[in-house]
Amino acid sequence: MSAILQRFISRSQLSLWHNTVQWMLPGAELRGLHTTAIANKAQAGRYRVTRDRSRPLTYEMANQPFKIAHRKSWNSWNTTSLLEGMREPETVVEDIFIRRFMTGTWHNLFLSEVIIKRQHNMVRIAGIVHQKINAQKMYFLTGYCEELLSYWLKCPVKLELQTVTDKQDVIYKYI
Amino acid sequence: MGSSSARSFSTLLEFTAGYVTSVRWITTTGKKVYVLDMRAQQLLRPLACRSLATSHPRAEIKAAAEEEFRTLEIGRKKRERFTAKTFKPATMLPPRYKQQKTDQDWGSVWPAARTFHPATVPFPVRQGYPASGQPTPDKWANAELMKIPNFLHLTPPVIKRQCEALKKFCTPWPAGLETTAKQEKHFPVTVSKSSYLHSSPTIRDPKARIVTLKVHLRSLDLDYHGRDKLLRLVGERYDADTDCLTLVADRCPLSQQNYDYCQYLLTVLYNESMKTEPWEHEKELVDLEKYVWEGSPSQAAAQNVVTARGINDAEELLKEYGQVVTDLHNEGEDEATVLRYQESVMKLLGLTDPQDTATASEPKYIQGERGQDKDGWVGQARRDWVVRGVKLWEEGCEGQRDRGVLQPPAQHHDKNRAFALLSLEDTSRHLRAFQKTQIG
Repeated sequence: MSAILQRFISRSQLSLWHNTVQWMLPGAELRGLHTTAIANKAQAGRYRVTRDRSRPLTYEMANQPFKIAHRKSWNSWNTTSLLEGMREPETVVEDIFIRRFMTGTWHNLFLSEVIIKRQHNMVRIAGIVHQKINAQKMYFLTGYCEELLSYWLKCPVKLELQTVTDKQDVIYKYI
Repeated sequence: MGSSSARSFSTLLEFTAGYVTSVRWITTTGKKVYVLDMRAQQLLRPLACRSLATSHPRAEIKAAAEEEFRTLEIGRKKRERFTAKTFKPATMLPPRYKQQKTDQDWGSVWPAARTFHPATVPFPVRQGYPASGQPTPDKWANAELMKIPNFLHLTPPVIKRQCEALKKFCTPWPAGLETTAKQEKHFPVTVSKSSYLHSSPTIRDPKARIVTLKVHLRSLDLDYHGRDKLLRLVGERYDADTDCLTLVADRCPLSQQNYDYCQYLLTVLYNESMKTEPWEHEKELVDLEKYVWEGSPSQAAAQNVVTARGINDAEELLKEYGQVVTDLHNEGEDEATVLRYQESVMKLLGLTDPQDTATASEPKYIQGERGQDKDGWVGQARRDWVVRGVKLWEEGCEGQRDRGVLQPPAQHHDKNRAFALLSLEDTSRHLRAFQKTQIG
């Protein structure tokens, strides 16, 4: 029944009908009409293979999300996910903010993900940076980020960056 | 802002030696003023400089006139070949590990916890899953090595050095507290609480308020009544196996308050236990915390038996019997207590012990059915039945034997052996046979 319906009616229409029925008859049994997203088509962290194998991937990109803790490790290190860990939502939001701030401040310079490691009250931000700008500017940006982030996050922040001369240095493989 | 800048602009114009001031009309709109203000400043800056340097403007014009004329280019202009702007890497210092000596002090190179840096770490290290046909990713530009925590700041020499530095803050272990027994004697109360260190900017954790106080009851100066009352008051907080009383306080927000509350609780518990309230004398037999043989019906019965049998030195016998009965009630019925009870009862009643001549060391009258005999009551009942049955059997046998009617079975010729091998069913069977012979 639902298969026939789905052949002739688009997903949005089905969803609309589902919602309407739910509004008119709350809790109505509509097991045949499944209108949620398809679960087995996860796209996150997967890259399309090119014909000439020219898409460069870093180690981080080459390993899919389910390989975390097997082939690659996490980009955020903190104790919130431990048993009875504290400040989980705050830490997540702070990490998102730090990532945005770093990618924006070091514009087109970060060649890896921004790695955020929390140790006691200290936040260590690590990553691999391209040597596109001269050293003075890098020193400035480092101090600028540390100063502003430690002011906002109310804790000492340290930038521990590694620089590479060539973008090719971080390429793991081509697909 | 517009008008003020325009005003300053006009004063500037007046200062710069009275040059043409036709831009004054722009003061009406703010934005334009700003733009033109900047332009005019740039325009006027060389003039102002010149006026300061007191050089003549005509000299520069003369120098420009001496330059070559522009060449006339006929036809299409040649296009310069476009070259991509190449990034010229700045002169880089060599990595630090190339300047490090082999006998360097690593503790000062890497003094504190830090993210891995390949130029500082002098040894080759690799991490990661290799791509097909490639070696394992090395330390250069390896983000995985930067993610994981490292212990490069905690090498053995550094730890040794830090321990040496901390040694001057340590005090010797107090004399007289060498053994656990001594520690327990002098410090019977153990107070414990936890501190939590999260990777977060706050050091507050609600779990840090919980305080646990532990004390052994044997270290409290309690009499029998006090101990009993304390146990009734604390309930499940007492662990009989370790003789330990545990008080946990978490109702106050601070650990200090909870600690004070623990101390208060212990004091109050002790003092309340030592008090005897008037209503405590209303305690009845069922309220007793455990079985007391003295004054019980069992004691009266045993006394009766002893007086009936006319034993002179019954003191020890009664004492042993009382102890056994007390154990049976307080420790519960298991094989050992029931066995002891059996022996004691037989001794009290003056019955012979069937175990002396029986083959094995375990009670043979329940041989073969030991699995069913875990319940003490069944054992007792069966024992009673067996005793009664054997008595009847013996009486019957004696009667029959006199008349020459019944001979006991060959394997049952020994009285004790018969006692040992008889089970409840056997007894009833023999009883029935006996009755038949009586009737017949």
